[in-house]
Amino acid sequence: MESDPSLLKTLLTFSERFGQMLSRILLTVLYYGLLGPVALFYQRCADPLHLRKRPSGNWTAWDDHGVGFKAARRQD
Amino acid sequence: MNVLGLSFDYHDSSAALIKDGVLVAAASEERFSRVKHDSSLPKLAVEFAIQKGGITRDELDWVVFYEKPFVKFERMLLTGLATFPRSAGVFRESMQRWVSDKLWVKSHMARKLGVPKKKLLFAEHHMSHAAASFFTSPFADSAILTVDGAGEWTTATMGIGRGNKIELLKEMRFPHSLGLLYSAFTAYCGFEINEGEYKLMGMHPYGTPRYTDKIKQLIEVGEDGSLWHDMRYFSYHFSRNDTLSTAFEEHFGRPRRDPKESDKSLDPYYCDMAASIQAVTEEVLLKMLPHLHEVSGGMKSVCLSGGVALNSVANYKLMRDGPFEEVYIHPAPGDDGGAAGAAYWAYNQICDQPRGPALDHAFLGSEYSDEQIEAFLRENDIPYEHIADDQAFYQFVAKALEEGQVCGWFRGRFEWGPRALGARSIIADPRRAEMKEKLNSTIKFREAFRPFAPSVLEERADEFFEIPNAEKHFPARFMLYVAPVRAEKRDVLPAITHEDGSGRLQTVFKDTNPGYHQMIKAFGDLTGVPVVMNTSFNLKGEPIVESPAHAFNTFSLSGMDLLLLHNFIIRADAKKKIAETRFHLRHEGDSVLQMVS
Amino acid sequence: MRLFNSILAAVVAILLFGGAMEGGLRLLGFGPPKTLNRFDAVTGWSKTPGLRTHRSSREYAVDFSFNDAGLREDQDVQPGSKDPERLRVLILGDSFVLGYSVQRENLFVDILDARWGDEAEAINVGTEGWATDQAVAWLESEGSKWQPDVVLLMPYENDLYWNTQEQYTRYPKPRYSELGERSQGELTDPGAAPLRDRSALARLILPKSSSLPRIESKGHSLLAEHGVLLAGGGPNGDAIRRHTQGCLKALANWAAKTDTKVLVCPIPAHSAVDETYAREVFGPRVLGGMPRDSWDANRPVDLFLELAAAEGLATVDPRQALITSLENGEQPYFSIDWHLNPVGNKVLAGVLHDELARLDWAPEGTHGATTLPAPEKSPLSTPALLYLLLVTVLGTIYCRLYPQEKPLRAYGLVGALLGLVFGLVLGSAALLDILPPDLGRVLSTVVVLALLGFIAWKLGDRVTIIAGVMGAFIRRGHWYLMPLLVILLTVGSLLVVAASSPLVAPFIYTLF
Repeated sequence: MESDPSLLKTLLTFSERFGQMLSRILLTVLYYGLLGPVALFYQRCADPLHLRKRPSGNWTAWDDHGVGFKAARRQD
Repeated sequence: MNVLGLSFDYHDSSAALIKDGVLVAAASEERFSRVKHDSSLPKLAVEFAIQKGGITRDELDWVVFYEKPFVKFERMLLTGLATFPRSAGVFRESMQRWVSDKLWVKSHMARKLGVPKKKLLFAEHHMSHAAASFFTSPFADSAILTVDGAGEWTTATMGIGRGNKIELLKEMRFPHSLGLLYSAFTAYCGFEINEGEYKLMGMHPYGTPRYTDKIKQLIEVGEDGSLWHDMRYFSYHFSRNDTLSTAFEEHFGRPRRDPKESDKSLDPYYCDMAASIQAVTEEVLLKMLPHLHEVSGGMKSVCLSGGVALNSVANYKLMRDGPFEEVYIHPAPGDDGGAAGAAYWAYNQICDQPRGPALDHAFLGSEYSDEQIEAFLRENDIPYEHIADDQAFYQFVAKALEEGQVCGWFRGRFEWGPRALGARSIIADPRRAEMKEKLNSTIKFREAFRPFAPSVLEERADEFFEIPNAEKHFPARFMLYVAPVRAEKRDVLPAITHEDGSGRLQTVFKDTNPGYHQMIKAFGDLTGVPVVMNTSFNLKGEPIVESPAHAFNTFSLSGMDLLLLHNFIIRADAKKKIAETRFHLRHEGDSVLQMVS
Repeated sequence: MRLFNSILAAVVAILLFGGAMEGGLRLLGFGPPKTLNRFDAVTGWSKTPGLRTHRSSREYAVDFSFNDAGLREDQDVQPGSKDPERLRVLILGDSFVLGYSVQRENLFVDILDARWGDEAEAINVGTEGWATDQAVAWLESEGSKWQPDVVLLMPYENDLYWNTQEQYTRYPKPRYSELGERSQGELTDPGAAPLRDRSALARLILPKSSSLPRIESKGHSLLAEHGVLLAGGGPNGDAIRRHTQGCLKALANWAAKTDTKVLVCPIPAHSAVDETYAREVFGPRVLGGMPRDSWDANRPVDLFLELAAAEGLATVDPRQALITSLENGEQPYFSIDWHLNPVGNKVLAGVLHDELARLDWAPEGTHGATTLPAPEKSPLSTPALLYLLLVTVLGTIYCRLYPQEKPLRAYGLVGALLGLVFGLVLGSAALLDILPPDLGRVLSTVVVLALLGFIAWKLGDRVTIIAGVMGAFIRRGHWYLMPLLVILLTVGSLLVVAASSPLVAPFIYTLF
C-alpha cells in the first residue's frame, strides 16, 4: 500500500512532464506554422518595436484607453 | 472605503491596504513566505494586511491588480511577430506560462482571495507606479516621472498629478528602456539581472566613466531624454537567457564577465563600465527632467517612481541638478510598490476620493508585542536580558556599538520597500573602518566592495552629509539618496563612506521612528557622532527577517554579537539554530524571459 | 483605421468560431451528406468528374472515384476509347448500378468486366437517384459517343413514381410522354445547394426543408414512390404506366436507330425476394404497418418486365436467383440499407452473365474470378504504425528534455501512456462500429457534450476571461492574431483543466 501513493505520484509527475513536453512541441509548431507566415508579412508592414529609428524622439503620446469603472474592470 | 492593491506574477509580490485614503498596511510576500523575490499571489501578505486593517475580506470594497495582463500578453505576441524567427524559445516558454497561469490572474485572485469578481480592478503598470508616488507625496500638484524595465508596453512615462487625479502625457515603449539598458550592463558586468543592479551601482565609484561615448553608440538619447536602442546590440526582446547580442561584446571588444568571477574581485574594466553606465543613466534622466518640467507647465515638484528610482546615486543628482525644487519618491518605487499604487489609483482616480495624508515613513509591516517576543524566547529556551527603561536600553545599545559590537535591531513594524530603515536592521559603529570588512565577510557574506549605509539623525544630517534642509527631503527618509559625505567627516565615518566619498544615507525622524532615533541620539551623545551603520537584517539570499524567530535564526547563523528584540537582549552565546524557521534561496539566475515578461 | 481593424478582428473571430463548430459537427457525423453529383442540363444531375470521396455506415465503407468522363470507372474508360475487338456493354441505372454501398471489387459491373477479360468490357453509367427517364435521356444524348454494343437498363421500383415527375428534390429532370417524347428541353440549373445541404452548422440551426412527397392509403402514410406497391399502382398508377411506357419506347427507338442491343433487368427490392423481411421489417417500419395483403413488392418488377416486353425489349428477371441464394443460407441484401451487398452483387453478375451468354450478346468469359481480390493490406495496421512512431519520437524527445530519467523507463512510461490513450480511442471506435449508426452518433454526441461540459465546468469563471481576451484583441484590432489566439486559449483551457484534474490530466496532455 505504501508504494501506491508513490506510484500515483510518479504517474502524475510523469504526466505533467509529458504534458509540458507536448505543449512545448505544440507551441513550437504554432510558432513556425501559424505565427511564422503572419510574421513574415507583418514585419514588412509594421514596426511595433520601433526597430527602425524614428526621426524625432521616442516619446509617444499616452493612449488613455478609457476612464471610469468600466475601463478599470477590463484587463486591457 | 477599503481598497487592497496587489502586485505579483513578475517578482516581489506585494499587498497593500488603504483604509479611507490611509495606507495602513503594506508588505512584500517574501517576508512571510521566506522565498526571496517571491512572485506568487501574496496570500500571506494579504492575510496580514487585512488583519492589520482590522477588517474582513467581505469588507474589502475593491481589490486592484497593478497591471493589465492582456496588454502585456499582446506585447509578448507582437514581439514574437516582430522578431520571428529568432524568438522561438521565448515564445515557447512565455506562452507556456501565459496560457497556463498568467492569463488567468483574475480567476486566481477571485478564488484564492475569496473575493467576488465584480470587486476586481486592473490598473495600468505605469499608472500604478505614478499613483504610488504622487498620491503618497505631500504635493497637491506635481510632475510625475516613472521609469522602469518594462510594464505592459510602457518603459517610462511623463505625467501630471493634480489633486486626486493623474494625467499621463507621454510614454516610451518596449524595448527602448532605461531600466533594461541598465540591466543589460548588469549582465555584462557578470551580475544577475533583477538582483545585481545594486551591485553595479555600488561598483561604479571604483571606476572612471571612460566608456560613455561607446555606450551612446548603442543608443540614441534625444534632447527630451527619450531613448532609442539600436536593438542589434541587444537580445532581450527575443532571447530567453541573453540580454546582449554578440555585436554588443564585439562593440566593446571584450566578452561579458563570467558571473562566477563577479563577486570575487573588482576588475578595473568592469568598474569603468559600471561608472560609464551610471553616467549615461544620469545623463538620460537629467535630460528627461527638463522636458518634463516643460510639458508639466513648470511644476515645482516631481514624483519619481519605477525601478530606476532605486538608483539612489542618480536620484540625488536629479534633486541637486534638476529643474524641480522638490522631489518625492515612494519608499517602494519598484514593482512591489505597484501594489500600493494600484490601490491608490482605484481609491483616488476611479472612486474619486479625496487625497489622504502623505506617506512620511515606511513602517507598514507586521510587528510583535513584548509579550509575544518574551513568549518566543521562553518557548525556545533562549536566555535573554531585558531593560525595561527605554533610555537605559538605548544607552546600553550605544555602548555596545561604541565597543565595536554588531547588533541585530528588531523593533516595531517592518519596512515597506527594499530598504532597512531601523525596524529590521543590523547596526554597527560607522567610525570603525574594520566594520565594513567584518559585516561583509562574517555577517552578510557578500562582495567586499559593497558599501554600507548610514542612518543619521535628521536634525544633524547636514553636519555630516551634503544635504541641507534634510527634513524637506523625503527620499532621504527612505534611503533613496546617495549624498556626498562632507569632506571633513569622511575620516570620522570610514565604514559608511564609499570609494567616491558618498553614502546612501537615511535621515531618521523622531516622530516616525522614535526608538531608532533615540538609540542613534544616545550613540551620538556617547561618541559625538549621531550616525550608525545600517544594513538590512538578513543574510545573503535571504529575505529581510519578519518575526522574532527569523531574527534569532539569522542571528545564530551569522557573526552578530547581540540581538535586540525590542528591549530584549540576546547575547552571542545563546545562538542556536531553531527548526521552526526556514528559508530557501530563489534559484540562481533570473532569466531574461522573467525580466521582460 | 483602428475601428476597421477591430471590425475585421471581430469578423475573423466569428468565422473561427463558426469554423470550429462546423468542423466539430462534421467530425461527430452531423455533416451534410456528401454529394456525388452536380447539375446536368440533360439528365438533371450527373456524377462530378474527378471526384474522390468516401462514404460509410455501420454496414459498409465505400470509396468513390470518378474518372474525367464522370463515371465510376478507370481513367482509360472514355467515349472514344472503344477497342473494336472488344465488346462494349453500357450498364445504366441508379445507385444499385453505381454501387452505392459496395466497393468496386464487389460490384456486379466490375465482376462482369473481370469475368469477360479482354473479350468484353462492362461500363458503369449508374448514377445515384436516377430514374428510367434520366438513364434514357443520357443514352439519347451521350450513348452513341460510347459506341456500345449492348445496353443494360437496370431500373428499380422507385423509378416508376419518379418517371412521372419533372423535379426530384431541388433538381429538374426530364420526363417522357407515353409517345416516347422527352417533354423538357434543356433543363435549368437550380443554382447552389441550399445552405442547409452544405453546412453542418446550418443543418443544426435552419429548419428542415420539405421532405419527399407522401400519400395516404387506408389510413397509412407512405412515401409516394412506394405507392407503386399497392394494387393498381396506387393513386399514381395510371401516370406511372404512361410515363414509364414512354421511357421504354424512347429506349427502344434509340436502340433501333443505333442498332444497339438492349436488355432490361429490373432490380427487385429486398421485400420481393425475402418474405420474412417484407413482413417483419419493411411493412412495419417503412409502410407504417400497412396490412401485408394490401401491398406486393413484386409489382414493380412485374410492371417493368411487362412494359419492356411490350416495347420489344429483351428482359431478364433476377428474382429467382436471389431467392435461391437466400434459400442457400446466403444474404444478398444489407440488413438496414436497401441495396444489394457483395453477395447479392455476385448473384446479379451471374444472372446477367448467363443471360447475355444465352442471348449470344456477350462472351462466356472464363477470364478472371467472379469476385475481384480485395486490395492487399499491410502487415501492420495504420494505428499500430502511428503508435510506434509516436513512442519513438516522443520518447526520444522526452529523454533529451529530462536526461535524469532512465531511457528505458522513459520509453516505457511514454509507451504506456500512449497505449492507454490509443486503447481508449480505438476501443471507442470499435464500440461505435458495433452500435447502430444513429445510436453511435447519439452516443458520440453525448460523450463530446459531456466532455465539453466537464471542461466548461472546470474552467468555471475562466470562460469570461477567454471572452475578455478575445474582446481585448478585437478592440485592439489584431485580426491577424485571432487564429493563433484561439488555439492558444484552447491549449490554455485544456492545461487549466488538466491542472485541476489529476485523473484527466494524462489524457489531456496526450490529446495534444
